Amino acid sequence: MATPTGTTSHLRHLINVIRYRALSELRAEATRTYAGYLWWVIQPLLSFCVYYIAFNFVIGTHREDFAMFLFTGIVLWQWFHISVLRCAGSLIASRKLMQQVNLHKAVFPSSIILVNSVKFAVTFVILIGVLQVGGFHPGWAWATLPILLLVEVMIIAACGCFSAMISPFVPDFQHILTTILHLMFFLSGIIYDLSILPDRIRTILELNPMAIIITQTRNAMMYNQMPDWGTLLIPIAQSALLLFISLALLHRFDKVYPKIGR
Amino acid sequence: MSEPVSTVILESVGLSYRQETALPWRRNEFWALQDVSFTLNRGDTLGIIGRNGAGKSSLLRVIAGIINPDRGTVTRTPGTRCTMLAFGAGFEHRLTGRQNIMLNGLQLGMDRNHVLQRMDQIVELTNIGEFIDQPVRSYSTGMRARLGFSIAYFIETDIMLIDEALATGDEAFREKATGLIKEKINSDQTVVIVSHSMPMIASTCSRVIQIEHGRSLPELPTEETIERYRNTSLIA
Repeated sequence: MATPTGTTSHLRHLINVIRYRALSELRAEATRTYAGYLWWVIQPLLSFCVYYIAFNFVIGTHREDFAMFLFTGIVLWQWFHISVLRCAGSLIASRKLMQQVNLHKAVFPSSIILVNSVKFAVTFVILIGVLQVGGFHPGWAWATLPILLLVEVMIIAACGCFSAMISPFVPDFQHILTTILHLMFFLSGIIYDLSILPDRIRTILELNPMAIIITQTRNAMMYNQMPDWGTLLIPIAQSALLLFISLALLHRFDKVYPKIGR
Repeated sequence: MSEPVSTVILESVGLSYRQETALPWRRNEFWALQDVSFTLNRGDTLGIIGRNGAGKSSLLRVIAGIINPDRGTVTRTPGTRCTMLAFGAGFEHRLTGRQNIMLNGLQLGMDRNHVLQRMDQIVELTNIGEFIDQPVRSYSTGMRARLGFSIAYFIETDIMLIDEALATGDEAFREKATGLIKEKINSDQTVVIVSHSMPMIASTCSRVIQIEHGRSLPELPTEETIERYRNTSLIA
C-alpha cells in the first residue's frame, strides 16, 4: 500500500504518478535526439510521405483531395498505433521497477497513453493548420470533435491496457500484435474510403473500431459531416467492455507480474 | 513493558517462480520460498540472514506486498504500510536529480505534497552540490547512491524494508547512511533488514530470522542465530 491511505487519496496518488511519469518521459525524450520535440511533427509527416508516394504515384488514386484525406487518416491512426505498440511492452520494460515498488500495474500503460496523447495534440494542431491551407474550414460538425477524440482515447485505452495485460504472459504477443496492427491499418479505411466498398464487406469492416472512428472524424473535419451516432455506439461499447476486462485482469494479476520472467 | 503488537504474520509461506524452458509448453517450477513463518511486531528491528539464493529478497517482496505467496498466508494489521526502500528504483537518467526526486518519491508511494515539502531537505542530504540540477546520467555511482538514499530516507511508512542497501556509495557516505538508519531504528520504527554483514545485524537488530533453502529456521536469540549461521556457512 502506498503512503496515502483511503481509496480516493490512493486514486489521486496514482493519477499523480501517471502524470509525473508522463511528464518525465516527455522531458527525457526531448533530450535524446538533436531535433527533440521536432520529431513529434516530423514523424507523422514522414509516414505521410511514404504512403503518399506509394498510393498516389505508384498505385494511383482518383481522389482529388487524396493528400488531405490520407494525412488526416494517418494522424488519427498513428496515435492509436504507437500507443498500443508501446503499451504492449510497458510491463516488460518496467520489470525491475515493479519488483521494488508497490505500484498498480495500470499505471504503466496509462502513462504511455498520456504521453502519446500529448504528442497527438501537437500533431492535431498541425493537421488543423494543414486542412486550413487545403481549404477545409471548420463547420458545425467540428463541434463534435471532442466527443470523437474521446471515443478514440477509449479505443486506445482499451487496446493498450489489453496489450499491456497479456504480453507478460504471452512473450510472443508483441510479434503477433505487429501483424494485427498492420492488417488493421489496411482495414481501417485510411488509404481508401469505406463507402466505396460493397455493403456486406463494409458491415464486417465496421466491427473494427478504428475504421469507424477514423471515417467519422475525417468526415467531420473534411466534409463537415455530423457523426452517425448509432454507428459510433459500436466502438464505444466494444472499448468499454475490453477496457473493463483488461483493467480487471491487470488488477487481478497485480501481484503476479513482478514474478514473471526474472 | 507492553504486550508486543503484531503487524505482519507469515504462516508457512511458499513462493514459486515458473522458469521458461527450451520448450514453450514446458515450465519448471522453482520454489524460492518453501516454508517461512514468523511474526513481526511493532517496533521490531528484524534481521533476515541466509546465504545467496536462500530466498531473502523474495521474502522481502512478499512482506512488502509486491508479490503474493503461492502457499501459506501473510496477514497484515489493516492500514499497515510496508515500503521497500528501493534506492534509485526507476531513475530516469536523462532527467536531473531534482526531477528524479519527484519521480522516484511518487513511485515509492510518497505523497506529492510530502515530496515538495521535503525537497530542500532531500537535496541537502544528497550533498552533491550543483549536480542536483544536472542529468543523473552524468553522476558517479556514489552520487547516484546518495540521491537514491536521500529520497528513500524521507519515506514515512509503518514497516521499512531494507535490502543490502547500505552497501552502496563511498565509505564516508555509507557510514552516514548507516548512522541515519540506526537513528530511525531507535525511534521505534519497525524495520526488516536483509544483510550479509553480521556486525551490522548484531549491532542493530533486536531479532534475527535465518533462512536456509527457502525455509525459516527456528528462531533463537540474535547472538545464537548468528553463531548458527556462521556454522552452517562453514559446513556448506
